[in-house]
Amino acid sequence: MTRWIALAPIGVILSVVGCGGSSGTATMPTQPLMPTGSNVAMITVDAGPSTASGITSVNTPFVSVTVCAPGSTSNCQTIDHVEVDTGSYGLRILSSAMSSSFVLPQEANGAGGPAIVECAVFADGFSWGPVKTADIQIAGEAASAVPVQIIGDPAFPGIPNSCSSTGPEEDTVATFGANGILGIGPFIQDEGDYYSCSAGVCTATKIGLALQVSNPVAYFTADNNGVIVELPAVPAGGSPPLTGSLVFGIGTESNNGLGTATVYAVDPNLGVFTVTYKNQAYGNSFLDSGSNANYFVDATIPTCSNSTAAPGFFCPTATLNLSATNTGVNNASSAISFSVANAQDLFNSNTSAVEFANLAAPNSDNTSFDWGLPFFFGRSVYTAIADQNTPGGIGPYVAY
Amino acid sequence: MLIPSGRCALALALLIQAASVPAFAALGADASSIASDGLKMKGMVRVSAAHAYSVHEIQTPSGTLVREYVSPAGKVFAVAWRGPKMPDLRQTLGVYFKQYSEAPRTSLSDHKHFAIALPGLVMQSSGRMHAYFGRAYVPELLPPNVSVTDIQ
Repeated sequence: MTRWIALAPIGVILSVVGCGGSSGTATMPTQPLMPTGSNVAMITVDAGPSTASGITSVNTPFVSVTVCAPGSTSNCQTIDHVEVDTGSYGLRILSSAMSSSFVLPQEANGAGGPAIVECAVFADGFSWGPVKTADIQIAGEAASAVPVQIIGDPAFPGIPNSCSSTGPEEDTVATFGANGILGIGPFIQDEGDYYSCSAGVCTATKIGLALQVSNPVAYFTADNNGVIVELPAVPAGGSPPLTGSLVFGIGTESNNGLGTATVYAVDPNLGVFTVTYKNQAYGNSFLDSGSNANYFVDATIPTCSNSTAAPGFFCPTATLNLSATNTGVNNASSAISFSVANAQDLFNSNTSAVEFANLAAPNSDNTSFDWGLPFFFGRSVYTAIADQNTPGGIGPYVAY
Repeated sequence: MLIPSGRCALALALLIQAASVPAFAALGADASSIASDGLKMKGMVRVSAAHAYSVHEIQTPSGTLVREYVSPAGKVFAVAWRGPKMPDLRQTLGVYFKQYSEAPRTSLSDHKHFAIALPGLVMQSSGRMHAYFGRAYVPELLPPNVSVTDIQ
């Protein structure tokens, strides 16, 4: 069991801390309207594709994505259970989730050159696989010739030591927890770790931006300046699988205007803003649909022990009703009310539930407040891509 | 304290001057391995003495800062990292890398977070592409009067 006490803030605190801004009263989520249209893909929040491994996904949003050989509208494959992640960049699909007869063209480092393969590094492990070129269709949107990663491709079995030294391998659906991941954060390229591979030998290499695995939204012919994630509110005890919407474009169609949402500009390099919680400012904070809980520093909240159903999550003796304030780098500010329930009780009392609005866990990084999927429940959350024009200004920003 | 061998004494002298030398010791290893392990990481090193331990800071070429916490007994009892790239954890965690790699995944492992709290190893990792943070320590190697909250 781990309990952290009195974490002193060090780290980068953005200069806007303490500035004014349009601070309002604390807001609780309300039910967003579920839009329809060719720019809307259905999000499903369910237990995920890998329950056979014994690990059930909680608070994980998925969509279906269709990939096609470049230039073809018939040589395609639709992949379900692709995780919707506003905290990464680019489309990655597990090789094992694709038909072995469906082959996409390999990206080469220079014409006729060696194959480009990526080591995608996550906080809990790495995923290794070649970069291929695909046309992508999601809902009615289409993108041509996008670099995507095919994870765990048996054609590239040799993982370089510099890749495998970043953590455990997550190259199967069971270890990855999804059939793929759709990185649609506020930037385009992933700036990942790339290798040139030839005759089974891979060496680390730098590649240009155009070759890097990239946020497909920026490649859409329309509605390409950002996304909206819209999920219904979730009751205190949790909810069985539910659906929501992934809307493409901001202010480009009748169904994706900003409406009453406020724009919170984020740092143009790291996509972060400031969260103030219990009088501490956390300058490296962000909204992330790929985080399955709210992760923050609070030494007064007990953590669930290893012997519980929810090791590592917060386990307060009674549900806590808390508040934190988000402040964008444009000084826009709002207070957010949220709850933290006992995660062991949540998991035990509603075994069919896969969404929990009050799930939280300690953040080991004492400069960051990570608003995960619980923040998205009952809200329309906008993510604008860097350098793209929108009616709310130029990205990167988040809005809600 | 560090036990200076010939090479180590030289390295230590350079460290104290905040000079650029390669140096590295893995979690749980003797600090005296710093010099011999040094070639594995090309980084700027700075050593500072805290209350009950010293901290070796390694600024890697990728921009990631690795901190090693060395006990008075000369053991690396904790490591921490922060920056745009994940450091070489096989090197940083040493013999504990296997324990990390084989730790069971739980619902908490969501690509942005990982945490284990075992009797012999406590480790947390978090972050997104472009910004990683993590730390690990060995409870039985913690010097007295060290607060784990200082490991950042």
